[in-house]
Amino acid sequence: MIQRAWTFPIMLALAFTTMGALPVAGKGTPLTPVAKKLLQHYAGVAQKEDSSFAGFEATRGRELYFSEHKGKEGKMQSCSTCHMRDPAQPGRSDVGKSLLPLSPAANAKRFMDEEEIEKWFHRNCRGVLGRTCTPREKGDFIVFLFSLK
Amino acid sequence: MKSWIPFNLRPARLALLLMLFALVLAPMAWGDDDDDDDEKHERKRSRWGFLMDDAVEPVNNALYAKECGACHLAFQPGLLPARSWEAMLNNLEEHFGKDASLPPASVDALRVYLVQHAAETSRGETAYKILRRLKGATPLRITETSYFIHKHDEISQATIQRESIGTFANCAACHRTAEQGDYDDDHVVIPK
Repeated sequence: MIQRAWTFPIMLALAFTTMGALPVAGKGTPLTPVAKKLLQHYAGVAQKEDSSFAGFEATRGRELYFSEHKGKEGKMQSCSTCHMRDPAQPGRSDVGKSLLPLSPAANAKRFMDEEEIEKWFHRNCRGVLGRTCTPREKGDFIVFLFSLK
Repeated sequence: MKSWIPFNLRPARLALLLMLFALVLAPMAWGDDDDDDDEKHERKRSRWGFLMDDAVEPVNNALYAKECGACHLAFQPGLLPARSWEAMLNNLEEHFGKDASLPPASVDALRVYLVQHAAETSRGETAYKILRRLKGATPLRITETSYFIHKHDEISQATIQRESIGTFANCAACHRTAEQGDYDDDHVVIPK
């Protein structure tokens, strides 16, 4: 009886943490080993920063992807400005250079190199949001991209 | 015995003459033919008769092509003087409204490449003309250089704002051979 009393909250907590990840793993693109490693790392930091953290969510990642911010030149911009409303499409930089699709479902070379990922998070979060992204935001973003087909 | 040297040239005079020939005439006559097999490189003579490339030396550095060619055309280093590249590398965090920061080791490697291939070192006609008209300025944008402005003064803002072009920085939209460093008017096709 005493044992039962604390298995329930544990099961509940487990269910919560997997809820964020399971639907993603179920229907999207399988995580690359690097993405998996980064998600674990970000989750650890996110947990430390905020004890109510209950896993990454694709919906929050999607919101971040489409959220608009005023750029330095006064124009509104979002991730989707260059990486398109559908990240499976080839992107276009604001000086007209064609970019390979961001979605790992459309471009198998994405999320294979940790340094590259951190480099682009750093640059583009500062460029678009005007600040660096939190580990939770990065995790949500990755989970969102891997939730796409 | 009759000398084989004509005009009664003494060895000292002959040596002088040969030196003069080596210094002045030889470059005119043969130039530097290290890449003459590349037929795309048309060659012109500058007003002093020295051979010059029409094109700017194409990018031949993998790190530069990858890091600086990700968002825009990897502009050939010969399009700006070394001092411009230095200034740019010193502030990649504020790169025309974007953050283009890189690890210090990459920045150092890029500095070596850019300085060694900057406009001052180029035999290209385009690079030469850009540099000559700068008069000591340190532009951060190729599009700010006086030669660029002069060459594009007939292109209207409306043309640039076309969806297919967008900005003057999108060289390859009209210069179909921009990637090869060839900005000759003959290869320009302005898209609709």
